[in-house]
Amino acid sequence: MNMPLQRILYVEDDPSIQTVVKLALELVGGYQVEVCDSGRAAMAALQRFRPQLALLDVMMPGMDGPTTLQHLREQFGFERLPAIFMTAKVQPAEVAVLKSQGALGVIAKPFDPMTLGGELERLWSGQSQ
Amino acid sequence: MWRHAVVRRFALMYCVLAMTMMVGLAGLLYLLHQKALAQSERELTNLGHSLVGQARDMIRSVDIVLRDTREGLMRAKQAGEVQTPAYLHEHFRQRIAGVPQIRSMALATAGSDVIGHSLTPSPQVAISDTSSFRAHLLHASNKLHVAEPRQSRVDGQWGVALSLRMEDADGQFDGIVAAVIDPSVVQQFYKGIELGEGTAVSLFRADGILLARWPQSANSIGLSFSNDPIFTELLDEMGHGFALLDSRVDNQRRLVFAQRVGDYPFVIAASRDEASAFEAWRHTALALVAATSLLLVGAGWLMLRLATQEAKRRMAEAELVGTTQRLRLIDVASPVGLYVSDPSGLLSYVNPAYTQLLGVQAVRLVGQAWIMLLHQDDREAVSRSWQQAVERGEPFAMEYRCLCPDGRMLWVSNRAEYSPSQAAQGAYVGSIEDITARREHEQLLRETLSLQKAVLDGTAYSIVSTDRSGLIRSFNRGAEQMLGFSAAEMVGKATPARFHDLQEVVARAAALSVELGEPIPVGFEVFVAKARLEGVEEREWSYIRKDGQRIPVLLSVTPLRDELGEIDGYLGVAHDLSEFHKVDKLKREFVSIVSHELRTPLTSIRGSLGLVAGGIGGALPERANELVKIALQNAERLVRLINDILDIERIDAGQLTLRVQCTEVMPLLEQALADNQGYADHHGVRLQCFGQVYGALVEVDVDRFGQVMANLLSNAIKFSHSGGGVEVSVIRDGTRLRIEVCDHGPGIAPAFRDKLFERFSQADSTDARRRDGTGLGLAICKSLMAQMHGEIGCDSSEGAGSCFWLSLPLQGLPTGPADMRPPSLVPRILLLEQDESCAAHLARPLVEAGFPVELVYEANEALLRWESGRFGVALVGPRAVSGGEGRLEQIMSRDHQARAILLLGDTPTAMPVDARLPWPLEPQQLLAGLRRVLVGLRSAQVLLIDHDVGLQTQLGAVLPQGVALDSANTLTAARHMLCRRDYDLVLMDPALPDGDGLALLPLLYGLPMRPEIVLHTSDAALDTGLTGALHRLPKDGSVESIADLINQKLRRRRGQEDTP
Repeated sequence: MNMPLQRILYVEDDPSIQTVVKLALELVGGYQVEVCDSGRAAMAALQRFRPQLALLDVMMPGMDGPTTLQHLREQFGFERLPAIFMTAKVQPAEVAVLKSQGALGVIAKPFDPMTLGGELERLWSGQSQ
Repeated sequence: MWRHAVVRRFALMYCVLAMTMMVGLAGLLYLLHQKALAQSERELTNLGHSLVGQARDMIRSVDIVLRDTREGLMRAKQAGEVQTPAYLHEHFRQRIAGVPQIRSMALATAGSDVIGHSLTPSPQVAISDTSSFRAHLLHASNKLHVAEPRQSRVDGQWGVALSLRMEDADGQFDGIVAAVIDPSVVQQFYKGIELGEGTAVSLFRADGILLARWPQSANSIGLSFSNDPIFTELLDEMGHGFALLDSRVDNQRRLVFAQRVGDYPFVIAASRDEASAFEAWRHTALALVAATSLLLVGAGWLMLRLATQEAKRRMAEAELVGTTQRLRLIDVASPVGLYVSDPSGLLSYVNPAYTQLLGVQAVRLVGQAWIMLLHQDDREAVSRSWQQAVERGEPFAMEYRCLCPDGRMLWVSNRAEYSPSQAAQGAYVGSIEDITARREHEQLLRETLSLQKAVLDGTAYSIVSTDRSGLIRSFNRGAEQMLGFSAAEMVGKATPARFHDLQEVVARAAALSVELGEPIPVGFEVFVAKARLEGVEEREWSYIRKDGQRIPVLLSVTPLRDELGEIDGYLGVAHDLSEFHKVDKLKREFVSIVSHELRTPLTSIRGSLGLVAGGIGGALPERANELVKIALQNAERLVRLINDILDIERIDAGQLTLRVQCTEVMPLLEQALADNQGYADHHGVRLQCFGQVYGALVEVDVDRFGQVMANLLSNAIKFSHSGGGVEVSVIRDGTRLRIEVCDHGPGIAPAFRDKLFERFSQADSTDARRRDGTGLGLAICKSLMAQMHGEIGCDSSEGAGSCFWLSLPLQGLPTGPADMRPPSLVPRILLLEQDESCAAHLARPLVEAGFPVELVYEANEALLRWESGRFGVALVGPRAVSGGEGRLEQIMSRDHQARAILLLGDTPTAMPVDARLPWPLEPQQLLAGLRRVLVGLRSAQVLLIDHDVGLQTQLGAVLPQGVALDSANTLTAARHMLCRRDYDLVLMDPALPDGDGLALLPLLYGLPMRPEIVLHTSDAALDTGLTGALHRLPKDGSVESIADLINQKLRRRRGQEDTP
């Protein structure tokens, strides 16, 4: 994938974290970020926003991160949507499970907002190799 | 019985009596015998006399008839009368008519012709041959002649001829006249006499010829018995005799009376055989002997009875005396107090022990009531019991307290028996015994037991004791409640296996067998084997309740020992862990949830602060900026704390699984240094790395190893002063790798060093830098290192910095005993150098390369050690000779072939040295020089590692003489060979059947004599990273080209060409 990463679909139920991430990615990383507060909202925004990457919180009420990703990928044209999970549960077993669901990587919470963009870029470029 | 003197005495008496009686009996029998003999003699004599008289009469009558006849005949002859045979016949017949014993009468002329015979008128016989004729012819005797019995020539009948000589007027022989006596007539006569049993009568001619006998003895009539004792011994001058003799007639022993018959030549013998003569006596004797014997037996029995009774009586007497004495002794010596009391309780006697026991003199006791010394509380009960015993005449027994006059209180056991004979109204004889100690023990035991019972029953622990074989001996209430079995079901009937999970026991048996190195059978042994060895074993097990429910328990097993210290059972104390597990699970869940829940707000806080601090919200005033940074730092610290708590929790739960892989250690260290460089820069601390261990492989979880290193490094940086340095050293320590992280900070107080690796342990929480940490880091490091089979430790001296170290087993190196290289394989180096720093500088690379080095500073000592022969190399340092040139030369002169001397520097000496190295020199140069010298001491060794064994043969053919070639066709074999010999060159095809040959590289690099390595492979990918010692040879070359390369390498190694 030669296109530089620009559009990120971010799904997170915690408004505080939403704000921090949005700021970090837009202001520090210079990305275009669509923030959704649930999986359902993400699916609604998908076709309109057409993201290059989905950044998903894992534990959310209603639909959790992996389920959201599954639904997103059922949409036409997004079968191979790259995704990165963010989670507070960073135990190796849990990380392995998440990775097995086709995620590029897992970012542990809490994260350093100043380097978050760089981290995404690193995982993104790793995928392209 | 015979041991009693009285019995012996009686026996002697009996013997005397018996002998007297037997002697008396013998005498009596002798007398009776003599009497019987005398009677027989009398009877036989009487008989003999009467017979002799009869015989004399008979013969006399014959004699008279014959003489008359002879006179008549002679007269007639002288008168000239002619006597014809017929006349004579008639005449003779008339003459013998009245004499029945005469059978016939005859007259014979001097010419022996019989001219007259009573039996025939015409006897025409001659008798010249008869004894009668000849006797009369030859002897002019007037005596009657008796001839031997013979047959008559006239009628053939037997007879005895009695004859007289006939003379003519001139007195000349003129024939004989004979009368023949018929013996049967005599016999008929004898027969008519009542002779009696066994009695015989015989008529002999005087010279012993038997003429007649009764009872008849036909064959002996006419025979001569002149040698019969009758004739040889018996007859005395008086012509008679009596004796007991052996008769020749019938060959029997007989009593014989014999007598001559007057003047006639006859002997009469009356005899009786012995048996008949003594028959009566014999009967009498038999009766007497029988009666005597009976008498003796009877007397014997009687005396025996008497003796036994007497003996018994005497013994009883002796015993009585002994018992009395003994009783007296017991009385005095007994430790038990003895007394005699009347039924009212007044003492009439006490023994010494009694007085001692109570501490009262006997005189003050006797006549007093024993009950007076009792403890007040017991007096009434004892008194009642005594009364009762007395009334019923029963024995008295009671334990009570006595109060002695000296104030002591004693527990006493009193037992008494009623003895009616002791006094008029009877008495009680009793004993008292001090049982105070026993009472106290009992009391103690009771208390202990009741305490034990209370503890056992009151506790919720299951407490089960067993014997040595596992059979349950006790099962407390806690066990009953925990397991649902009752003690009655288990005690003496089952072993603890009854409530254990078999699967667990089987698994544990297997694990124990491995651990203890001996097979542990599935059974009770599984629970106790370890406890027996170590004193106690605590371990988690599952119990299975009677209802099948599983209970996790912590079981502690302890051996029980008997008084000799031998194990005689086991005690198992089990604690129900169900609740604990539940709580533990709750705690873990809680920690996990809390951690997660904490993270979410923290994410916002940390993120926001990060953005603000990063200037996203615009520039802040300086004070605000400072405050935001503090907030950010603490948010980060909170994150670390949560991470550490989660790690610790997972370690505790055993959930921390590591992904251990075999990794080269140097890149990991470099990464760790790089990761922490920023932090170091921030603190103004220099990070330095010392030491390189090429190809050192360790088995670690890369991330966790990084975590440990980061922890150590950040600690070291944190405690270093700005501008200071932190050194990381990598050292090979035998089969292990040691990584040291040293700082030059304040160090750690010794008192705290032991607690360093415990949780939440911080030496001084007032120190701001320490407050920055979580207090969990080192504890986590310790757990992580343990999981990676490593160790962690700290060397520190307060004020001089700390040195934290990690130690990990090196992989790919021989570690097992079988693979251990013999120490003799590597030559020991004796290093002589006077300057300490120079010596250390020289020794370090040698030790790191794996050479054993002994350092000496003095030439004298060096000489002594060198002479021990333990050293293969003497390395003489540049400043070694300043003290003793002479000594140094001595060392060198004692050199021999298998040993080498290296001289460093340009010390002038004429001595031959194996090598002289310039000074100063780099460690690598020193090692190269040393190796070259050592290689020169022996023939070249090449190891061929190739799965194709054929190559060895081909190579062997083309390699020059003096190059020894070994081969290995597997990885294992190669390792094996490398451990047994030092090689100069290893030619290896890494494609081996049991693994990648490249795995050998760390081992090869680590060898002190580091061989030349040639990879014989066409895999060009290996070319990257090849170092000087490693060379790749493509597979398609000829054998000769391989040999060429080998030769070239070996030459270079031996210093025959320059090392590149």
